[in-house]
Amino acid sequence: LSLQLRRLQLRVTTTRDTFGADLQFAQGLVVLRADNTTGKSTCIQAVLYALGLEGMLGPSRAVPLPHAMTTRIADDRDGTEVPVLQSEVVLEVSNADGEIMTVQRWVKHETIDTRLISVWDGPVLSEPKASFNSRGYFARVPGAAQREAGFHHYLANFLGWSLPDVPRYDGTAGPLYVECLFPLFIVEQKHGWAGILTQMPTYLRIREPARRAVEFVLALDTQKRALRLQALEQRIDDLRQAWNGALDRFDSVAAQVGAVLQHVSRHRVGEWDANRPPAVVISASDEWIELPMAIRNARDRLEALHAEEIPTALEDASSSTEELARAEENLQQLAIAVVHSQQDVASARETVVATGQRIAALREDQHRYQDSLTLQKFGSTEGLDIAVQRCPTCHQELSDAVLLDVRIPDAMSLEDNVAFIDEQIRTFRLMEGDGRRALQGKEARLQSLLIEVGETRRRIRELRKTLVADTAAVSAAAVAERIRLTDHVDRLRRLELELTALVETLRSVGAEWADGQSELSRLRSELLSDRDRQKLDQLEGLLQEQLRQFGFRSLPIGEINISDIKYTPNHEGFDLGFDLSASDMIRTIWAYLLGLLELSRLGTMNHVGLLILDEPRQQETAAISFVELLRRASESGRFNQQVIFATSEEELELKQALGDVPHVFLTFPGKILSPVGTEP
Amino acid sequence: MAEDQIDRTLAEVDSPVTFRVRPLALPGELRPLWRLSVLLLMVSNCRGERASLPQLHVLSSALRSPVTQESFLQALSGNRQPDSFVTRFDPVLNQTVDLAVGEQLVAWDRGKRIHLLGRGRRFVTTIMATPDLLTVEKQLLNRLPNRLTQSEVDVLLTGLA
Repeated sequence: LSLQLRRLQLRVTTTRDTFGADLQFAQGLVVLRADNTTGKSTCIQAVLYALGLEGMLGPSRAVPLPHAMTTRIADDRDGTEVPVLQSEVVLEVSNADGEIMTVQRWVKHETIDTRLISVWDGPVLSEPKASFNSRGYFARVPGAAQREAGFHHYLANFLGWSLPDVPRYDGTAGPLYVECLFPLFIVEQKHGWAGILTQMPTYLRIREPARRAVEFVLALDTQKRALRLQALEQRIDDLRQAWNGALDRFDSVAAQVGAVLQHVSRHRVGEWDANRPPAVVISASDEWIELPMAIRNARDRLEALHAEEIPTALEDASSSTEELARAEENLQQLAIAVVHSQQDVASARETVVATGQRIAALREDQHRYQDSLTLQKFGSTEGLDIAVQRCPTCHQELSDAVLLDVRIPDAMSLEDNVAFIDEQIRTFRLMEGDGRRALQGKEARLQSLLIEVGETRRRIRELRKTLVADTAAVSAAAVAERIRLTDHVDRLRRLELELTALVETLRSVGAEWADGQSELSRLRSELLSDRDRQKLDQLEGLLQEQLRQFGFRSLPIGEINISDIKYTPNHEGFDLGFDLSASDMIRTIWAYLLGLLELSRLGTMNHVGLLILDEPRQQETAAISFVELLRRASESGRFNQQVIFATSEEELELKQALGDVPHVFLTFPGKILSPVGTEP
Repeated sequence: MAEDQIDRTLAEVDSPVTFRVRPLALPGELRPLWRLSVLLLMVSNCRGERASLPQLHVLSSALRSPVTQESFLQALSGNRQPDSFVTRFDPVLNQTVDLAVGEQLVAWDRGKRIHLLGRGRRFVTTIMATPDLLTVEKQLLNRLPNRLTQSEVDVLLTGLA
């Protein structure tokens, strides 16, 4: 894969003259030398703009080019400023198959939309007399990456990229935008040197864009796995909801008869003991009985009643009187039981709440410890005595327990304390689960007591009615008892059917859950393939080799690694940043990006074989020499690659330093944008 | 376990029993470096990067928990509930200030206020530039209407709002 710049043309039409610049590039190292503020960076920005890549610099819709291209340009001949009427950028590039295209984009035009990019299928700048087919494409509009008429869709095809779908913040997958890839190929002066891949646009709603970009450019196998992982996590979440939803629906049915489901938990999706399948128990006065037993009892009683003839009110009178007395006494006892049960429920609820609070407090502590671990690293970098448990005043050993008002022999190390808190959180979470389970049982018991109270009251009413009724009539109490019992048996049997259906649902959800979990843990443990690992090791080797060559000094070079997770340079698991001097940060960026370019020589990857570095501002780099970098970058010519380095170093020194290093030297004595006469 | 019970249990154990002192777990807020960092954040959020001890005690009480944060912000905006925000004078804070002075992160201003030194300011910058670090604390300090002044603190302490 390859993208090479062949020619760049800028044109600015003013009320007076036409100004312009024409640059011709070549394979290998190209040094673009000009003094500061003469338009060197304008050329680099113009390349970005021509390729519709200004989204790389941020969400702003503004044209990323200086005043000279958009409003007023200074005419060096007499020092006046002339208004810009219209201006454009034309860029001629080639790909790996040697195909050439020329793109043109207006920077300022009275009528033409600046989001339009015109594309010719040939070298318009090199062969101005020839004629080529042209077509218009759009950049910076929604869908420009995917739609046929989108310039980035066209660009990706031209480069031979098939852009992958990557995880987005909203949990869906979407295309990896071209804007996320070019920060690996072009370092812009203003934004590019603050840190590694700091130009990476984050507003595009792609999760971890830098990581995805490096994965794509190095053609790591892990990219596909990451997408599968996200889909799988989503599915697992859905299954958890299906599991809990089924339990919720069942519970609402069970609660009506004061029943509780056992041997399954909301926290343990897909798990139950084969010897103890989900079962239902029903609260009956002081004990819990299993559903089949409850059904049998109720049916036996109903059959016994059916065996007798329904008594008349007279026949029933004496037994009714006795039963009434019993029922009234029973009601009193039930009322007491209800009060106890309510207290029970309240205290169980309190336990659950208290456990929840305890967990929240532990989480807070956990945060503080995570902070402490990071701070310890910062503290030791800053040379704080406290960070190494030494007194800042007398430099003797100082325990971490110094702030405690009682003296204790020693405090746990930070790491041990973190593990201690984690363990506590685990314990309390188990307690919380157990508490919830108990609470549910107590609530069911209360519910069944309340049902019993209702039934006893009804029974009392029926018995009283029987006692005052016509003596020859059928006993109302006896009839009501039969109806109630029939109804009860019906409900229990419905619950039994619900249970069968529930077990069926749980079984299928559980099976899918188990499959998902095992795939998940397999994916998580081996996100990187052996080939991926090999590439990252090679990248690390190239990085360290260059850091040595470029004179990196902030940290021991052997400790700078390529992160397995972010694929960027890190030190002891932390991103490189505040612990580097500004010049070592620049060296690291060179070494990393050049490392990616060099690595892509070793196999089929998606790097375009192009690296454009716009030198950081002078004050930041006073002490850095570019010679070693340029020497190394010139190798790119042998591999059909291109490195363009824009600099304001003194011409003479630069030429001496470059010596016999193969390169093309583009130099501009004055302003790069200069009068070119009137265009034909 | 009662003492005689322990004796009985020990008598049953055949091998010699040794006791070892284990390191103790500390609440995260008592780790010196954590407290030191929070102290620096607090000072950097006071006007002129200078803070008196009462100012620091008030802020420190506010930072104790989400609940104290809320009631602090309420009190600051003048909607103080009679039983709400209380400033607790925390002896640990004074010790933390001593440590910070020792580390040359802050210095005393004629014994009345402490102010950030270059080293302290650098440390604060690093903390501020690191996401996911001291987030709760940064959030509260960000929500303060302005940099906290001594007179606002006096109002809070005397309750003459």
